[in-house]
Amino acid sequence: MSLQLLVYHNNSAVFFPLFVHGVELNLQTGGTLQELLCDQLAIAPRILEDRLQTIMLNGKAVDDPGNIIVQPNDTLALSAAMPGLAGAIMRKKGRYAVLRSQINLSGNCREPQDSPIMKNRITIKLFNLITRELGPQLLDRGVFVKTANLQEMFQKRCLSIKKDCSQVLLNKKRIVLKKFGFKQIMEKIKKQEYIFLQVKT
Amino acid sequence: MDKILRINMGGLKGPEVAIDTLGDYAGLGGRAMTSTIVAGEVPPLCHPLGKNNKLVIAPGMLSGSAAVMSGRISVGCKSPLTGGIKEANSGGQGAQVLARLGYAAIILEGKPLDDTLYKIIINQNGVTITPANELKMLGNYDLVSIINKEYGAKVACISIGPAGEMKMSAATVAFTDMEQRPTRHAGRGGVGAVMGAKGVKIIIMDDAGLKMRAPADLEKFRIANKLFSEGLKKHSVTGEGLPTFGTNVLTGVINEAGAFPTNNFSTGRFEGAAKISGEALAELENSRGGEGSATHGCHKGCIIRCSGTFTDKEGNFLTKQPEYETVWAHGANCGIDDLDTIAMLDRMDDDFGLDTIEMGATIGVAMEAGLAEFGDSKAAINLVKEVGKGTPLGRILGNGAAVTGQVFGVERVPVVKKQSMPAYDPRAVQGIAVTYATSPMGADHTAGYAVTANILGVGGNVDPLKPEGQVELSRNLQIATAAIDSTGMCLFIAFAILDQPETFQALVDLIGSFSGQKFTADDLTALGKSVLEKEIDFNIRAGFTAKDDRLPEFFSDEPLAPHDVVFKVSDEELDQVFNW
Ligand code: SF4
Repeated sequence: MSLQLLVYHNNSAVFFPLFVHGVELNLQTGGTLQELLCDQLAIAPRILEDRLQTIMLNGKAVDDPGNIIVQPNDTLALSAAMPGLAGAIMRKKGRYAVLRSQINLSGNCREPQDSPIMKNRITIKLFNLITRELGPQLLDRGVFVKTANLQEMFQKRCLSIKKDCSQVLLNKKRIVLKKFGFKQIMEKIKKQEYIFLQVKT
Repeated sequence: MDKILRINMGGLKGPEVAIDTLGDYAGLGGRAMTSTIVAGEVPPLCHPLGKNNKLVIAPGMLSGSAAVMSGRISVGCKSPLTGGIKEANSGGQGAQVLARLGYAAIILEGKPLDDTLYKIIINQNGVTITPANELKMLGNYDLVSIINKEYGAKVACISIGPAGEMKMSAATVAFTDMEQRPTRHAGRGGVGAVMGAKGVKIIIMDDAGLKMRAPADLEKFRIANKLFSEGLKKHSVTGEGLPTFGTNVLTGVINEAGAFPTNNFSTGRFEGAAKISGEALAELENSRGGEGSATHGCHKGCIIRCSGTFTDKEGNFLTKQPEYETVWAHGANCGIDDLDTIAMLDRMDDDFGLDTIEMGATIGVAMEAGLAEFGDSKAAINLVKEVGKGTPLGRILGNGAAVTGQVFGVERVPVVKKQSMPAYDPRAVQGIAVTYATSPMGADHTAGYAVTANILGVGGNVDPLKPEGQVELSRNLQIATAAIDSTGMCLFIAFAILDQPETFQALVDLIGSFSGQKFTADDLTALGKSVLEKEIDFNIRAGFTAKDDRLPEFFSDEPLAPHDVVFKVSDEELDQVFNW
């Protein structure tokens, strides 16, 4: 099932909490993490270099994304720089990386796969300021979210979502929000484990 | 800051006040001051609650001046929790006001002859001490509101809650913030119990009529202060991340890394982490209190403003923004994923005068002992209420995780030198664990917090790719932290001075232009090292040995999910940390 929303004024921020739980995308696996970030997710090199200070794959810290091969069902977490010693330790290529040697992913020793490379589900979590940088483009492209997470979000932020939405499509059919609110939408999708959510601005 | 206020609480006719010159303590501030006095004047084998212990309260070297971020204050003594030396650090208005009153330190010494409780009033006319038994067993919030009615709403207060009066080892010393709320605490090591043992409920400081401390070289100081401020504002951590999300910005990533101790350190990931994350907390605060509620300073002159204001569901102020450590301790560590519960526990801790880290760890141990289920919010609140009331159970809990674990026969007790471990599991982040194990303060997240060691050039250049680097880095970080703690600067400046050499230079210039003496990075390093040396020496004389620099056994035996890692740094390596 899919849910498409058109929101005003570049304002998709209300959906950002979904990224802390993690969203899923169909992406090509078998290539390097660097390729996935730059080519498939279209993250600008400047953001990758300067803003994206912590990268974790399956809970392990990555210092060199060019040296890591992405596998199906991997979970990728991205964060901006964080404070304190822990923030410094988790930083990619930081001088305190040795303090997390137990959870470093310093090359997962797999050769890049020959083509064809399959599209597979990858979970992506965005934290803190990185959500502002990358969230809108991922929402625009569309992500799979757990229906339970979406439900919780609609419950908490129903009013502001309604206020910001100019158009809603459920399974490509237009919905008039005045007649058919989010409660009814959630009723329709509640049996699905995941829903494809696209938020365009 | 050219004098020291000494108050002998054990005088035959009541408290005796003496105002000393600085003497050998000239030029010291913050942790350098507290640790030098404690190491030099307190017999290491004394009882922490007895007449020979001293409570030292010292603003930082730059406090009371116009230097941004300089409002941190240190509280030192022999700790009733660890039995070793202690420096606990706090924000709030206390540092600025005490420094403007001209005091480089307040020393409370001796022991009252009876159980009279006192209040101390300090203003430009001098020091007055009066009995204040009517304030007995008041929570910090009620206490400050009574004081405000009597002394006005511009004073700064240093106080203890019921936990301090009951001399509990988890008791804090509270400092009021800019809004006259007792939200800032010198939290660790039971410093509040020592203030309680001295019979002092509250110190009221009024700097009306006094000016900011003036720098020796005003022009250089102004330039350095401007450059320093600009450096903090332009850095993404100090200029964006901390103001937007506060310290709780760490929850998401630390949880993802499997280093977020959950259910009393039994696993490294908490399912409810997203619900208590910095992102969720900031959103909740802004939605209830209005945009901007998640950004607030704890004292005048803070420009990072990592704090915030937590409003309850009805729109009333409940507490300041709970810190990452608090969110973890009362949240994940107790299996609780509800921010309202965590904020309520934070408020109760502040009111009773309790260390949120120690209490969260203690409730976790109590839950493991079967006193409550993990995740039971109501039970957690009730357990902290027991502490506030001082019931027999509350007295046990209020003395911390080590005592609670011992009383209830729990083996998994996350302490070093009897002090509870903060919010990073040492099995996943072993480098932090080296600091937890070896810090003279006991397990302490801020002991190696100043990630500036390389800039300071402490210990030369460590190869970060070599595992042995963990030991050397931990040593260097502890030296750098001790130095920053002495300046009165908030430790959160560390990231900006790590990344921006010009910001670090501005800090050095700020100190130099203020004191009028040439000050270099080497001086800062030497200061940090000398502070640590004194602290370690005190602990050795108090009976500590290398065996105290160890983590509890379970960290080496129980693999931590999801990465199934155990703590592997050897005892021999740990013993090298202070082998300089
Ligand atoms: S950054 Fe935070 S802890 Fe530091 S002085 Fe400001 S409000 Fe206080």
